Amino acid sequence: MNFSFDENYLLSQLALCIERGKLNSSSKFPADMISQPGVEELLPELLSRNISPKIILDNGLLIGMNRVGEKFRDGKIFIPDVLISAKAMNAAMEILRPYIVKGDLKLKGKVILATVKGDLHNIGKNLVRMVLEGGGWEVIDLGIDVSSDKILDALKTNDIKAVGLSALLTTTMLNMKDIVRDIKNNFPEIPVAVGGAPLNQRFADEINADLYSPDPQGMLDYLNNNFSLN
Amino acid sequence: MINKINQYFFSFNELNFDEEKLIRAFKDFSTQNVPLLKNTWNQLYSFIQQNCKAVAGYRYFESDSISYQNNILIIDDTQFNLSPIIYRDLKDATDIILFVCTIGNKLEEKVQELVSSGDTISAFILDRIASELVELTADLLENKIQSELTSVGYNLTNRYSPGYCGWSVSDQKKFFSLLPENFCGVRLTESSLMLPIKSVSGIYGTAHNLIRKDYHCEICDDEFCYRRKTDKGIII
Ligand code: B12
Repeated sequence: MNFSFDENYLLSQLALCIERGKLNSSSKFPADMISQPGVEELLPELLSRNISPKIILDNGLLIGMNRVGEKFRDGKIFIPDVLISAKAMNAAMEILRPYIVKGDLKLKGKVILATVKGDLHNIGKNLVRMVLEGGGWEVIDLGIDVSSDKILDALKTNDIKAVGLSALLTTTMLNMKDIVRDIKNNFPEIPVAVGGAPLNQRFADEINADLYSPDPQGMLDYLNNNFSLN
Repeated sequence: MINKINQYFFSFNELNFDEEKLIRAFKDFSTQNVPLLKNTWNQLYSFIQQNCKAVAGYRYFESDSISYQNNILIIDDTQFNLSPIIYRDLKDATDIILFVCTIGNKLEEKVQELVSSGDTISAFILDRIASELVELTADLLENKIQSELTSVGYNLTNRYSPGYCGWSVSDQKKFFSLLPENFCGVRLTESSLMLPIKSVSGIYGTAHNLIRKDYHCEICDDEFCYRRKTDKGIII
């Protein structure tokens, strides 16, 4: 690729800001980057130099998010830092939104998330949403206490790549079984990921889910590995 | 003697949640991001102080309503299939205490509001603080009960909750059937979820001169329990 030294530098700085969750020059964290420019300064600067949104996404933002994923997998950072990066990423995507709306920039695909029937625990699912959106996926969040019907409806009316289900208690996670079965009966090609505090791989296998992950990153990696970009 | 049924209301200050406890609860924040944590705490502090409505209550069952049988605890006519790990500890108790505590639903609603406004990080922080506060409420209740019991020479066993140590969370239905309706403002859904969400239920045994045992993780087969102790005795 043919960028000037400056632009390559800006792209690598942008990746660093995503990796470290540096939003803008006035944000107080990370403490070692105080008063340095952040995503909200670097990204508009790159756009003003006619660097295409796709290059910015692929060669800046997603490089930063991939490093976050690596550090999380290696146990160097934990959920809060991942969220902080995802927040910076969400701010970046907000700036790029006009290009997405126009169709100049495509997201990776759509995913459904839901907390299952009988369960009202929301925060775990919301964190998954934030990380998936930060990774360039579009999320249709069906909320809490969600039954099969609602998910099947959303699958009928959207081009969906995968479904993610969340539960908090062993009593409510049992409802996942019927939901996975209903999805598999109607949309056998759609992978279903399950997660939440009481779950484990054994239970996911028993109910024929395609993926169990104890954290959002696992689902993001699964999506990135199984569905090629654009 | 101790009341048969009792309720306490604790102020936020009594729960004693301070910046030190905050930092301890968020050890997974990298040092460079602690300013964000402190900033969020400062912003939410007065809201939390005003809206954390800690309520805790218990019902005390004396020995004449208690019997034991092969891992089963019977209170009045209600049978609880306790796991061996809990049974082993409780069976020496003559009396039983069932308790519930909550911090109400205001913090939970605020978490939702923060999520809707796009501030998922503050929501995450507040959600975890709320969980800490309800645990502190349970600790405070334990202190209250123990100090009432101390005067008559009784001690408490460890605290156990439905859903832990092999005791099925679906026993919550039977558990709540032994308490007044809407006790401490907590109710149970069809799927055994307590509302408000930030609520805890549990059981103690008590007896004269009872010696409190250690937790025994080695006889429990729940390999996925998050409270499982390591070989070194540390809870991971
Ligand atoms: C904090 C906590 C509480 C708090 C707050 C609970 C809340 N819902 O807000 C309090 C103290 C109130 C509490 C109470 C109880 N708890 Co509790 N609690 C926990 C604890 C320690 C953390 C849960 C949490 O909020 N984590 C933070 C959020 C953000 O994480 P999360 O929801 O798990 O989501 C993350 C992942 O799971 C994953 N994820 C979630 N969904 C999905 C979906 C997909 C597709 C993917 C890929 C990933 C994914 O990504 C998220 C981000 O990392 C867990 C044990 C643990 N370490 O997980 C027990 C746990 C959930 N509790 C448990 C139990 C039993 C209870 C009680 C029933 C105990 C009692 N009798 O009082 C009550 C029930 C409360 C109620 N309302 O009915 C059990 C549930 C298992 C079971 N037996 O049913 C657990 C698993 C502990 C255990 N025994 O091992 N609890």
